[in-house]
Amino acid sequence: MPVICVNKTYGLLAFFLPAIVIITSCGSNDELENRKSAIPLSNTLESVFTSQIDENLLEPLPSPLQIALIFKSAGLTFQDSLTNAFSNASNYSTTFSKLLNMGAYSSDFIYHVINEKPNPSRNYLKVIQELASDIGFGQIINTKENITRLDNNVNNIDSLAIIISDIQMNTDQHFRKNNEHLKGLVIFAGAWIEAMHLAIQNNGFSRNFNIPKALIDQRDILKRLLKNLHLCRGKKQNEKLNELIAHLEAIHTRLDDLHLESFEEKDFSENKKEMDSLRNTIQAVRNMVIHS
Amino acid sequence: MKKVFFFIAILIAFKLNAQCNHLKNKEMKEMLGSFIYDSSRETAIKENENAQQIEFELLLFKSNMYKMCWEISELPPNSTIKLYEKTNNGGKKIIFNSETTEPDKNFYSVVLKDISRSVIVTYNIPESATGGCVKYVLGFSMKNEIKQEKNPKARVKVN
Repeated sequence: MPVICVNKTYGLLAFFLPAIVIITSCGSNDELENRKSAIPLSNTLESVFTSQIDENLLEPLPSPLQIALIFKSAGLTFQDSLTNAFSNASNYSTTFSKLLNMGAYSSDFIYHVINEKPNPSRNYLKVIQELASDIGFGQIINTKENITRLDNNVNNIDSLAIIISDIQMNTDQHFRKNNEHLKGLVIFAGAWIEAMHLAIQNNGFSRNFNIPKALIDQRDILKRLLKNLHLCRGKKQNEKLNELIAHLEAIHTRLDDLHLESFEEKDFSENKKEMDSLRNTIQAVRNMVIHS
Repeated sequence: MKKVFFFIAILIAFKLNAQCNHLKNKEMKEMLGSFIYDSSRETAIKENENAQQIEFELLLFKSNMYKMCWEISELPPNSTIKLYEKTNNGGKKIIFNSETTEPDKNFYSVVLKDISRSVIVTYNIPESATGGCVKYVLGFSMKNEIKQEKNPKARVKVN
């Protein structure tokens, strides 16, 4: 008899569980916003990360490599002093800070690779793998093999871009198979913030009108990132995630303050105050990331 | 008998919660040819009595050229894939239609050049279609020119 009861229970579970998962996975943004205020901040990050999210509800985002190459083609030059120091990696002790800084180091890695700086690139790759290993997916970045590939293709930008895109492909597939889209989004947020920092702090920023224009183009990406983060957070509020969202929303507000028409006319003066404000906000958010 | 019921329930459950067979990296690279991988998406299609339309928007950058590929081996019969470019006046212009394109085995692909801002991908699934899946892979090239590929599946060689 007990065996029959177990079978029946499993049968019913098997029948209803997917429907329950589908119903509870995601709500619309409005629904989530309405629920937010009534929810206490008691969820652990792990419970937020393990939420089941349908990938198709998320807005597609471009890869950090594409973002970096857009800034490079806009004329962004290399400035070593702007990247996050390797030595900071040992300070990141939580899953959240490791994910965010995996993203930041990924942008630094790409920045070095596309500017043909092989030695630091190797070290950045090692740091990224160490952080990834600490949080359980180090296997997706085959450091040894990729360093050999980097060494063999030092002066071939097309080939170097393919090495980075292969890592991106592995990462995307890993989060897809494990339904860990939020982890992927936190890494993306770290990478995006670092890319914005590298662009706006660059010495050539105010001399090249294409860089601010490329920076303003990032507004739509940020909008999508925020929408995805809100969706994934859902009703499972978490302090760290809320803090990240608030910081990104501050950048979005600063980007909205800029007058696009002046950039078309190649006039910086009208936007000086707003641009300084954006620079300060990005600096503050980037500091939050690398000191998290 | 109860074991049979349990087995059927599991089957139904899997059918309701449609899953995709994940694309392998090698397949994605072959689809993209010389383009650099940017992103991908798997859309599971659930069994439904009514016709379904699934739509999403992709942000693109004018300075880049893109290749968009779909793997359709699990796409329910008579489904269509359409790609539109958003126009400045708020409208949309069709730039790919699977109804008027022959697939290459299980793939469709389109190269996108000078796209102003974004494209809209639409999957139309007919009524009473069985569940399935459709996957896309997006690649980009910084050079705004079409590389002449002797073999369309060839890529830049990386040792």
